[in-house]
Amino acid sequence: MSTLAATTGPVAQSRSTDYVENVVRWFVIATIFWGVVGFIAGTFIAFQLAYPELNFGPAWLNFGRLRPVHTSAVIFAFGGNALIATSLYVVQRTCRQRLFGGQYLALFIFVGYQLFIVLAASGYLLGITQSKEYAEPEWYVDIWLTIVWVAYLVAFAGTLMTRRESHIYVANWFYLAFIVTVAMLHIVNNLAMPVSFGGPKSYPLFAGVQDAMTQWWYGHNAVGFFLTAGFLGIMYYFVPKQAERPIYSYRLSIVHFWALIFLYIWAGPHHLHYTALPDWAQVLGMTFSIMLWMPSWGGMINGLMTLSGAWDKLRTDPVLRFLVVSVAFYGMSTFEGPMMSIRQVNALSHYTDWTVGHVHSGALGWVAFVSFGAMYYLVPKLWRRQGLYSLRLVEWHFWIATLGIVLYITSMWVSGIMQGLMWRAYDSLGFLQFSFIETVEAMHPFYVIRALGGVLFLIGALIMVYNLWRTARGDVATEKVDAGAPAAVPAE
Amino acid sequence: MENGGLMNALYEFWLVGMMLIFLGIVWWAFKPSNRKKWEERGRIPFKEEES
Repeated sequence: MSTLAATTGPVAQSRSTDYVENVVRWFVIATIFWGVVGFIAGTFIAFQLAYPELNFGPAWLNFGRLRPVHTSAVIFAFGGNALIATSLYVVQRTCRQRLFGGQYLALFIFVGYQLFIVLAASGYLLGITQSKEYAEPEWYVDIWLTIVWVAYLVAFAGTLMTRRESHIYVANWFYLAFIVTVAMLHIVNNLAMPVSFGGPKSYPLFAGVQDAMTQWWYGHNAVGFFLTAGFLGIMYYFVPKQAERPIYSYRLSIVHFWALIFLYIWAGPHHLHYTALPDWAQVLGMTFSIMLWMPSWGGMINGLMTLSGAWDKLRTDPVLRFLVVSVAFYGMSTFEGPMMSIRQVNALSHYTDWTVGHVHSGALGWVAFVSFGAMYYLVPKLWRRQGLYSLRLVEWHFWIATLGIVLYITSMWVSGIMQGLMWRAYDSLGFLQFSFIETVEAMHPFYVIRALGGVLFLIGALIMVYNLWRTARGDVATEKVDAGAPAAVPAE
Repeated sequence: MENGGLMNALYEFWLVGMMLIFLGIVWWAFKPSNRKKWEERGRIPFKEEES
């Protein structure tokens, strides 16, 4: 923390706009901290699936309790802090205005959001959950998050309303859509009546298929507006900044934004194919999911083509490579998703590891990579350093993490499709050919490969922690010579 | 689904209305006279004061 104090003072005040940056720094630290916690939890539960002995015995070490710790840690703690950090940074700079509410409001958001994370995670370990995927926290945590979220909205929207730039830059549109929509989703999906004031237990307002539909309206739009719109905000600022050229087509970004807004909210029913949900609703969800191909790929093209005429930067700038590869993963997982939402494909893929692999190609490849790129960009800026401690370590992080993702998603494709095919296999007399446990045994090798992929991803993240820590301290690695001299390499 | 004529009309207008709004946005985005404005706006991230 001494480095924080040493760098906040005189330099920051020399500019005409006194941006709130110290709290953004804390959000960056929280992002990296919770990222590592979430990756450790994920890797551990991956090994639990391969080796059930690792459940040991106590209930709080059980896979069922640790799994939401992992998902909430990576989505809400790592992803959420990354989104808040970048959005508070971007909104001030693109509006050329100090954050509305100043640093005390920002501080409240920071402390409040970390408290939300700790309250939620400690509840999971104790067995307190409302059993809604990605909305596990009980009512007392939900109310607290609502208060913090409104404060976040006030700070963000207040900055937009007091901006000095006449136009609101598109990254802020995506961030604002993320903040507003998540508020709406969170409140509606968590409408519940507590059993008592002193106890954590509550019952949801909706029941049966209405409850399921509300949950997946929430669940899929958490993907659409938290993990997509929010991180697209990161893409629309950090890719142009790191590439040092404006976004390929600003008007395409407008169409990208509105198409996402108009379509995403309808895609939720594809989580409930072949259930009690009426067929028309299932087909509606499928149709809108397929239509999402267009904005997703439009957005991917916009991000990638920003590099047109400067593709050589990918070879020399590993930070830009993180950002660009994340956009490629965005394109890949948003191709896979609509395909899996087709009912006939879903009949095979649903409830299998294919879904898990799909989620992780988006989560590791898109969300985490774009966040890593943003962190590598932000830390030197926020700590006022010339550059990163070591670009070579960024290279190592990139390749180790990419290999981890490849191991993860390929093993889950094989495992998931095999699992789906085994479940539907009949023998000549019409009996199911395999018992459930036989599918589990068959998946064991792929579980091990997946867990190793997780280990690689975690190692990459630890390399980043070391690199960013040295960067914040102001160190520069001596290897700079070859990383800084790309011109000496002749093109083939 | 038993809906009154008015309800049906509202539903249909809503769908068509949304469609028209969206197409209007696309037209607005691609209108040639707006091109220069968009190009300027794409450069906003580079206008911030350097630290």
